Amino acid sequence: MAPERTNEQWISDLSDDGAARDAAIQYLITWLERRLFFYLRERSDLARVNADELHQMAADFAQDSVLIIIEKYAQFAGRSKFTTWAAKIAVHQALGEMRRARWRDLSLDELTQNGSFEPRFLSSDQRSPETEAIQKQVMAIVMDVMQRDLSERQRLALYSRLVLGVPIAILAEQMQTNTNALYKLIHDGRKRLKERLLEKGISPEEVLSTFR
Amino acid sequence: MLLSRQGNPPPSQPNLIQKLLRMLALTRERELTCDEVFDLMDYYTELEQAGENVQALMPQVAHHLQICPECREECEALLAVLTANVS
Repeated sequence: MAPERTNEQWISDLSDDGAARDAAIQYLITWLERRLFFYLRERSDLARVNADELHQMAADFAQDSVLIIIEKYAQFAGRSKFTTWAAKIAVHQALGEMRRARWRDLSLDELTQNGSFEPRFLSSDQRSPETEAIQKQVMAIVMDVMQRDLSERQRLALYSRLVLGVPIAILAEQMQTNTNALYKLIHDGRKRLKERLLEKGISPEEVLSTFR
Repeated sequence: MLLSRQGNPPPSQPNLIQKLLRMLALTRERELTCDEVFDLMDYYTELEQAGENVQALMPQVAHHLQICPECREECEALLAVLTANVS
């Protein structure tokens, strides 16, 4: 491998229209592919995938990422090494692809139809029958506040994230919004819930301590 | 819910209310979004890799990583990719 380029060399080489650009792109693909392979190999959820398949996954992710990097390198702000910035994009791309594959069958339609996202889902909490009275009381208040003070979209988003663990990008697609707007929707919901609980003299931190 | 790949509802979770309360305990008036954290993630991870105290240097990013499992996963993955022993 050639000696590591400086950030300026990376930008200069990628801006070139000849051999320097081709060499930079090839270096980047190889650099990312090898590192992505090592990362994928360590993931417990891919433990049953054989090495050839992992190599292919890493190669595909690296290729896809480099296309994005070529498109976006002018946005590189220079806060880190160029390769770190490129790796960030590759990781985002790779994990995004894996999440899309894992959640490809998710549909929120049934959720909205059967209402299983409504706050009563909290009452299915499977704790011991000796649940403390205060905890039961808090749960009732939380359910009431969620029902009264959060919009249906906020309840749906909160349930999908909290209970189902749907990744935010997947949920944003399903809810026909973007991750930024969805994060803000959920954040507003969390803030409202917290405010209402505090108004009722309930501190989430204090109640949490009663669960231990 | 419909997760037709699995065909089953999610497993019962013994600590939903705890999860919710933990999330509320972490909730702040001002939080960075995933996009804002993504912009800073390369810089944050290099600092972490260098052994710097990222909690003190970039507290808002560190806070977001406590709240958001996907950004946390990406940050951990980036660190793993950067430190992979590929020689």
